[in-house]
Amino acid sequence: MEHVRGPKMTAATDSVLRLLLLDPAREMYGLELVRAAGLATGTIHPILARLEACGWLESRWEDLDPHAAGRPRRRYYRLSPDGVVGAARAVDRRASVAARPQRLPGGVVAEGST
Amino acid sequence: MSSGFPAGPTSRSVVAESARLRAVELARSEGAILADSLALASTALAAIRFRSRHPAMECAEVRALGLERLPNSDYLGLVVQRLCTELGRSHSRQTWLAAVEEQAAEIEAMLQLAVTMTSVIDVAGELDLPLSQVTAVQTGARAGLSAIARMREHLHTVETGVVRVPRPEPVVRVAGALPSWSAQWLVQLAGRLLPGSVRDRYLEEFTSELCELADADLGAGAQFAHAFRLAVRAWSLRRSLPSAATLRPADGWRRRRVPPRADGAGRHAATHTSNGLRHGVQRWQRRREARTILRYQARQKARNQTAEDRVKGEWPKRHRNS
Repeated sequence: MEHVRGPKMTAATDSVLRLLLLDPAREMYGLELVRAAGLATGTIHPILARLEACGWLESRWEDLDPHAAGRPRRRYYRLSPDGVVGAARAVDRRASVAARPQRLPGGVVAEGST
Repeated sequence: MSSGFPAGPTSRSVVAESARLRAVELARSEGAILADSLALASTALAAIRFRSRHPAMECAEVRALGLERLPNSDYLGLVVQRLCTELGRSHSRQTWLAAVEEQAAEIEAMLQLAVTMTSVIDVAGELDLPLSQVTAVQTGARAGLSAIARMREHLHTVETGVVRVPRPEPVVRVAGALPSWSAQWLVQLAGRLLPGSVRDRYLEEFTSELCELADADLGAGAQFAHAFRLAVRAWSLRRSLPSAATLRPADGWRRRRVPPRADGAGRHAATHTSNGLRHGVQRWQRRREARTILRYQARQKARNQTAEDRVKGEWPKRHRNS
């Protein structure tokens, strides 16, 4: 299914996408992503759900027998082929917007935040 | 010490709905199993039929066996394919069940015939075929019959709505530290805030994170904070889910309005009469009117009797004894 609009790009989404774009083939689970992106634990799932709903992410369960391993399975995420293209564009767009000089009240021009 | 981990949704309606959807999925997977199990059997069946029709086998003994009654493998494959198509279609529940049941019954009849014939007749000996061909037919057909029996159970679940949800066996922690009970409780709460269709998935995901935090020797406070953030963001997660996860299926198990029964009996009988009154009220009004009429008639009768008595010069009966 083709999605015309991408997900809502927040700073957290941006950092997650940047992280995933470092190695698009690599699968990461939620807590791993949170730690690597420097987000607060427990905040990643809405972002992942949005990205998955857009078709940018693919997910699968860990190949593991929970009873044998004594722990529940992890859910692994990675960028889909469409997601790699879409995420790269979205991250670039956000970076260019952030780098654009902003005009503050009083005619002062501020440099981009990145 | 062992600990039980989330065992899935608890809301009855959500359980029923998700279990019914699961039954549909299981029936579909049984259809795929049926197709797989019959793949080898169909080849062997075709070989047997071909051999029985071979000119070398044109003799009275072979003809007497009636092997032409063996199911045609091509047709069998076609019906199985039709069954899989029907299983994958989205119809209303009754139409879906009827279509699937029809195909399943036909396949079952063919497989039973194949099993019976190959058991009664020494096909391998009569046709000079390897025994493995007959074994393949029997094995495949029996596996197919088992798949159909299991599929019927799932269809029954879908049809009646009586669902037996096997409670997932709790994962027992054999290694690592246990998450704190308060964090587990909060994770369960967060799971309950999610739609039933995705609840199991996220509960397992949340719990795996909690276990990992516990394994990393993070204290109960950190675990609680993690679970709290999960619970707080459960609404956000719910909104972020694709709409299909939060909606019922289009062909689905939506409660349908049942039309009133023709005999007017039962709870679906028309509750209002043509004059806009409910049946009960109308009955009560009619009884009251009947009582009034009877009283009026009795009064009239008494009045007429009194008048007659006066005409006759007799004292009214009721005052006669006083």
